[in-house]
Amino acid sequence: MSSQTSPAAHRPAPTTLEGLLDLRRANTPRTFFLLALGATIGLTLAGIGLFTAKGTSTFIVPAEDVALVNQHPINRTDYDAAIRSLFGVNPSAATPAQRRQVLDDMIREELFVQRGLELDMPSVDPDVRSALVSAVEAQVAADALTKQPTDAELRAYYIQHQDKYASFGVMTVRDLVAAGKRATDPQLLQAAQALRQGVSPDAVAARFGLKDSGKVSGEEYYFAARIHLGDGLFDIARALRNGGASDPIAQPDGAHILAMIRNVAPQPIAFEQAREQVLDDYRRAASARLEKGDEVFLRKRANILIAKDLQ
Amino acid sequence: MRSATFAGLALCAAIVALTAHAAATRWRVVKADPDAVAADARLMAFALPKGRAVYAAHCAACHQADGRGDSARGVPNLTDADWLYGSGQVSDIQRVVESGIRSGLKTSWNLAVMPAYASPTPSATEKIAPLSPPDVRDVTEFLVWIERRSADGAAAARGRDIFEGRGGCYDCHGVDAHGDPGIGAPNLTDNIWLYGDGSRAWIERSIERGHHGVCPGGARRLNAFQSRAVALYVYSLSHPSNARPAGPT
Repeated sequence: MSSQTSPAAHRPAPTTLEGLLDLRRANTPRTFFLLALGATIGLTLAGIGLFTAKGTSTFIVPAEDVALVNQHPINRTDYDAAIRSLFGVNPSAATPAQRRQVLDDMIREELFVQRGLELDMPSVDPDVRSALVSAVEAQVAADALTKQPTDAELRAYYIQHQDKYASFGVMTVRDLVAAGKRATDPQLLQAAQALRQGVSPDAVAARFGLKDSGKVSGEEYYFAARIHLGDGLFDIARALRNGGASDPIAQPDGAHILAMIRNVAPQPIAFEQAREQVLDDYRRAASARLEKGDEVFLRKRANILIAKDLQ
Repeated sequence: MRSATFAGLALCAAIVALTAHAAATRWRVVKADPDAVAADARLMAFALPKGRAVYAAHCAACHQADGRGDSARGVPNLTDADWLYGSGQVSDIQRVVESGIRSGLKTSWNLAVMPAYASPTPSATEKIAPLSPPDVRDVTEFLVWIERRSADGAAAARGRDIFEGRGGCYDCHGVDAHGDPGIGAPNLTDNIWLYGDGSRAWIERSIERGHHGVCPGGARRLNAFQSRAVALYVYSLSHPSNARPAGPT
């Protein structure tokens, strides 16, 4: 298929007004005029943007906003939420007075925020500084949460930190005490032996004059038993088997004998059961890594000068 | 030659018109009261396909492609009428979409956390004492009883005392255990379980270990239209009648 063009298109148009307006013919002055006009308009717009106080600005409020205050948007979702929380109605059902009140309040807030920045409040107000720091930290955490780890990543993390994922240890133990007696007292050794032979703690206590310390009561999680017994007695108790009894243990208030009724040690739990905790730990670690990385980056790009006496 | 030029111009004009129409409709979807959009069949027909695409990209990994969630991971079902936060209106959903739940964003839902009662400090913010293993079993029995399932009456009575007293459970779940959508505390009487299947083992695990599920906020990843569109899509999952294409008017 061949295309045919009119011979008139190749002939230059005369430099008259008719020639300038004759778009079917090439016209050099017109070409330069349009180029110059475009460049002038572009440079003018750029100049206004660069050298006026407001810079480039829009006169149209975007759909997602309800107002622009010095070109800073007031979000429509925030506005809707404010109407709902203040008046308990949907935005479309709010009265004009209610809408105006909320909008006025939000514009006022925005103006004061902007004024606060002009006054450099973050430099002088410790509350603003602290709020900014916590907001940035929270933002880092939010970024870490955004990434959903794959199952493979979570499983790898679980395997790396498997010792953290275990069932709760549970024990039922009796702590019998002989006030003022020594741990080497032969009668106490006999009491411990009786416990090991299956005599009930109450019967042993009655026969050998022991009392329950009252520190532990019934079935307890390991953490609670540790708090109640103290680290020393708990470590001994944890090693006892069901029905076992400790040797007499010297303590400031006398000699103690621990009688283990039931001891269920923590057991590793499968990934499926630990998944929520693994995900939580994984995200916490990712957040800490991100926060550290951010700090390194900020320090790297910052120009920090330290006074000579502190160097 | 001339007819080809006209055809090209017409095509360009059609593309411009369609683009302008789409932009205008996006504008209307974003500007509208979120809770009123669902009633506008035309806007819904426009927004739902976009919302479905956003859902597939950002939400389906946890909530599953069909929106039914995963109770083994504490991911709520979005297709039923049970809403953990708010009442399931589009505005409630959009808030979660934008700000998330315990997402780190200041505007996210973060008022309540299920304490881990088998730990020395069950709650970081409230003064709550730990529970012992028998306490946990008693509260579990109470929760089984309150759902009208077969339970040990004496244990359930002890569990109720803990629930309404030192356990502090009533503070979030309410004395009637009906929950509080204002803070995301689940209703414990409706046999809908966010975590697990409602078995005693799952309930005990929840009480012992606590929960603080997370939903990332999309405020920095989604634009206003995407947030609205995916909120409408999620709304449509539990309101299928709103997902029908626009009919004749």
